[in-house]
Amino acid sequence: MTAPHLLYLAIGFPPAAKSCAYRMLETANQFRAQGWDVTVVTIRPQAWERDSGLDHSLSRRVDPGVRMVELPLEREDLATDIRSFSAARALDPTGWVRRWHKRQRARFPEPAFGGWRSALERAVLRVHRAHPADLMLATCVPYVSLAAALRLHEAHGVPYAVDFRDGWSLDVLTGVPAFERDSPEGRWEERALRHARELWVVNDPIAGFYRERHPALADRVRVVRNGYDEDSVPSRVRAPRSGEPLTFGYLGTVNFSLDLLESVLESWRLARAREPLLRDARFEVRGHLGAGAGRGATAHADLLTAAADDGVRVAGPVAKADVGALYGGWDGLVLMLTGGRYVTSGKVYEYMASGLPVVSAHEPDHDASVVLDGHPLWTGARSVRPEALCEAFTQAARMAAGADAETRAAARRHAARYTRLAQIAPAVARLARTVAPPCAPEGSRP
Amino acid sequence: MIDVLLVASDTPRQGAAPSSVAALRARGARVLLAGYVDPSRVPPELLGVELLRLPWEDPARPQATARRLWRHTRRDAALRRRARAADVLVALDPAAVYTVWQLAQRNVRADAVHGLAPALRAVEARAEGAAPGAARLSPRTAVLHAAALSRRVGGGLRGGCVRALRFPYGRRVLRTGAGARTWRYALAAPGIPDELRARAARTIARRLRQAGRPTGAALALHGVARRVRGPQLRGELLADAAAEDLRAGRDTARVPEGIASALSAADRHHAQGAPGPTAAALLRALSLLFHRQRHLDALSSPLADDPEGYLRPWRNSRAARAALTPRGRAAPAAPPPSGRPLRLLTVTSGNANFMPLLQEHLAADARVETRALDLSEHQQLRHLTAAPRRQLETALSGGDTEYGRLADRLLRPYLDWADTVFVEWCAAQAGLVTAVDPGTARIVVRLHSYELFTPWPQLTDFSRVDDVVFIAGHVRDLAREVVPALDGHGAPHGPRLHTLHNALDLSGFARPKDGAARFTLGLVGATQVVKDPHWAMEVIRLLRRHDQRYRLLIASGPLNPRVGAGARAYHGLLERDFAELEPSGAVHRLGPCTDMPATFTRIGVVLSSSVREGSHCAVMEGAASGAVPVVRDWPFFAQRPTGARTFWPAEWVVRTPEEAAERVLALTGSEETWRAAGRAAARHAHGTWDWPRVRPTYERLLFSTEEVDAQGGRNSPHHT
Repeated sequence: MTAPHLLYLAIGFPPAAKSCAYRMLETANQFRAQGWDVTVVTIRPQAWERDSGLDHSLSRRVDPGVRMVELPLEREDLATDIRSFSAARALDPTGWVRRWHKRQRARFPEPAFGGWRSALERAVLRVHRAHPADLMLATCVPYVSLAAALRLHEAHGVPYAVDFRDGWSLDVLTGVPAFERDSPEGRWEERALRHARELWVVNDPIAGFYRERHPALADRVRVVRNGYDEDSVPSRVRAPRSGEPLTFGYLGTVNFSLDLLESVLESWRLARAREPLLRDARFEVRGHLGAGAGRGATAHADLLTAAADDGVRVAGPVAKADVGALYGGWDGLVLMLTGGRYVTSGKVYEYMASGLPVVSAHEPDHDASVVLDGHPLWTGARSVRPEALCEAFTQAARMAAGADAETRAAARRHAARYTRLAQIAPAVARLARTVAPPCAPEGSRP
Repeated sequence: MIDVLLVASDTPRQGAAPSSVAALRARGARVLLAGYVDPSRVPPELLGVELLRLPWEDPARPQATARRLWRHTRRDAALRRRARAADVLVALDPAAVYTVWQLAQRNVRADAVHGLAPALRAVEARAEGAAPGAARLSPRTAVLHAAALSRRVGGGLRGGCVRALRFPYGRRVLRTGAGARTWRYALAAPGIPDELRARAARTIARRLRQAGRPTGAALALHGVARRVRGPQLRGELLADAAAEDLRAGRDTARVPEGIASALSAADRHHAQGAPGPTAAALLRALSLLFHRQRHLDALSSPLADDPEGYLRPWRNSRAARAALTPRGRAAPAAPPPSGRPLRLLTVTSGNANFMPLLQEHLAADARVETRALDLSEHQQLRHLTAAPRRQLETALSGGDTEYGRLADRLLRPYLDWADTVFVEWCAAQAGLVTAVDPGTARIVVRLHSYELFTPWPQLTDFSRVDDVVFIAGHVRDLAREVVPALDGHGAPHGPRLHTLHNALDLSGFARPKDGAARFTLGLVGATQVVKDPHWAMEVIRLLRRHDQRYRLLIASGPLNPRVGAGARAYHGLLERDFAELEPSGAVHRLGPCTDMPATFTRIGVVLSSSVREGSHCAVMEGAASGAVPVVRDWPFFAQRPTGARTFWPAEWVVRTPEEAAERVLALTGSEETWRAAGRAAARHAHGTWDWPRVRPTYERLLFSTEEVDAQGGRNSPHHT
């Protein structure tokens, strides 16, 4: 009996240095582990040079049996080679990008990616002709992937599922619908989800939103949380070293609001001045800042650099393979998150599993609070005002200095149910069962 | 050594460059920073970098434009030389891209990039021996590059494919009458599918507008509308054509046609039971009916002239009537509680200019427990606040939409807590609050004046409002005609109507005036066309014919010409007034003033030159200061039974600049006359509008359910 074949449209698959890459990686590997042939359709690695960059350490973790189809698609709006610009673009780069986004929407209602529709549709049809697919899984963003899934389904009846992660019609930051049902986006979403075998989202509030918006789909909406990779947390919990100043850290894309960053830096200043344990403490920010021409040069960078006298240091992204070691060198973590009850973020799981105290710099009514609830080294989410955050820093410093081994182990146990494997594997098994009988595993996970 | 030239149209921000510049230098690059760079603002980390500053400063326009930066670069021999020798040309900001693009055509060996991260990659690639500059271009880019280069040298490729590609939409073509006509003929060609014709028409209309031919844009859309067969598309195009006209500042016959077509489209959709498209079409009609060009950026308004006639098409629309059907409330508002303080929620959306005194007073009143909800600050509700289309759709769907459910979920905790909800301004916030059933909370909405000239009162469900507060009788009377749902005395769903003055603290205005104030007229607030400061200029011209000591002080920010064509035209008129009157000192602009009591010590005559006002607080404050009030008979209300004549003491009100000048001359002829008139005005102001006089009316409003009319019915005339 031949193995069933998954066609996985996953733009953002490794080596893209994006947080979604971890979820995609685990999903592909889990299908392989459950005996499937897997073909990943994505874009060429060099396209990510313009975007969030590359992390080749991720590629090494991809199951060697996964077949890659890399399309020559790039985001023209992120181009930085001025020689390739027309005079009109050179004169008004911002206006040109605005107009370009508008043109992209003519093919599919998504500003930066709409123009990829034909190429993606042709690619999945080509892959299917060469090696018929038993299931297609499209992961968004970009949402134009939905068009390709639908095309394959309509042309050849291939069943498909959508890993929607944060969803499309919900603005997760504000909690209000992002567009109307009868808008072009709304019509596409309705059409694309109608026949989907399953719709995966990252948390319960988003699932609730989709169940209410698409009642016919309610029993096919599944919560598949992001989870964390066990090898991305330190094997040993760091104990405080007497005499050495504490180091707090933030790891992740710097994509939260300037107001929040200002508030955190102000509270950090206050806490350093008030709490003896924080007198010479350091605060290290690691991760991507900006994309395209603005990469590394954003207003956030201004604020962080200006706070150097307060022990704040910004030091760029970290390869996935080095993440565990990075956490191992820190004493506490600062969870800066935007949004509210519809946002969980991937980093919260890793933070929990690190066994380090976590300062929550986000709205109290946030899905991160739901998963952190019960974590013994969590300061709680009170408010994002400087005074409240200052108290949280103080509390975290005392936790860092005083927590015993048992408390730290309990913190890690709290996170144990959120390993990425525990989240993705059952979801993959369930989805696989909807289209094919169970197969004997062919390979093992790398 | 790799030479890197960084070009900036402004001084780089701190934090943007240091680590990358250090990385460039670490890879053996020699870095030169050039452009509009202010050495005193260069971040410390960049101090070691060689600077080449272009000598340009224009504090009035701090944002350098791309073309200006290139012009200055081209004239700077030292910079040109360095650019020719550079290996990597880097634009640090969007306005510097054009300069780097030009320099790259003159130095084909160099890499040309936007941003420091790509610059670093280019330096690394060069260090590793990669092919430089144009050698790595794709064939398409090379063609563009060659064509662009040829434009510079005027060679055989001049124009070539690049110009050919742009010819059809080029501004230079569309700016000419022939070009514009050619496109209109092309759009009328037979055999083009409707959708394609409409899409092309919209594109050409946009280009025509950009080329300074707004009439051509409207004509193109209107012409295509007559050719398409589908009624929906035709309606949309006619509405688009009308919007183009209004945007250009012209109220043509296409506007009522656009409104009528949008309303008939709405009726058609409504008959088919499609609330979404119905709401969209109704909104198109509303946006034309209440376009700011017709009411806010103009010195007259067809709505004020004849509310009934103007709104007749809207009221005759079946879809509009369905959308405005009162939804009522499941339970009546509960009476004020006994045994505990009244829970009062104030709802604003950004503008709370007239609330502080009221809020301060209520916060100190033990009988009230207050909370404030500023919708513009609420993470989720602000997205629901100005959503007219979704509100219309919700109204048409009986409240059962995602919007309705979400609004209900988010507002419910506030409504459950409050005994009384005070909604400041009958604008988007009133639309949102009345989109949900208020439970037993009493809903009070205060309508000032301008709201009547926006769609919002039409989108407010007054069957869910218990009380409407007006700040003047003439506003109340006009509102009754514009929004018949308000006039619900005795009707099952009508709100109670109250007329209460704005809450003003006039106690600090009684200050001694300078002697020179007798000849100083003051106009406070002239940031909108409806304030008509040009009328005040006419008054000062007439006065100075009698006595050169008269002058006009304008305490106001500038009028913003960008809000629309009407404002732009009026701004031009004002600038001519200022050019004529400022050099002689006849007019002096003070800019926005925060200390009004101090400002009024310099003003002896306070003017209201507006064409429309609710109450004009500045005149109340000026009168309280002892300035002699001269109030124009606000033209929006002059032909109506109530207006400035009935709001103010009759002798304060004048019809023309000549009458205004006469009143000023008569009352400032001598120091004694002027001071006596000022004292009388101050007495009236303090006795009528000061907070101790007004406060009881708000207390009656909040603590009882009786109707409050603090202005004596239909603005009965006052006497000093």
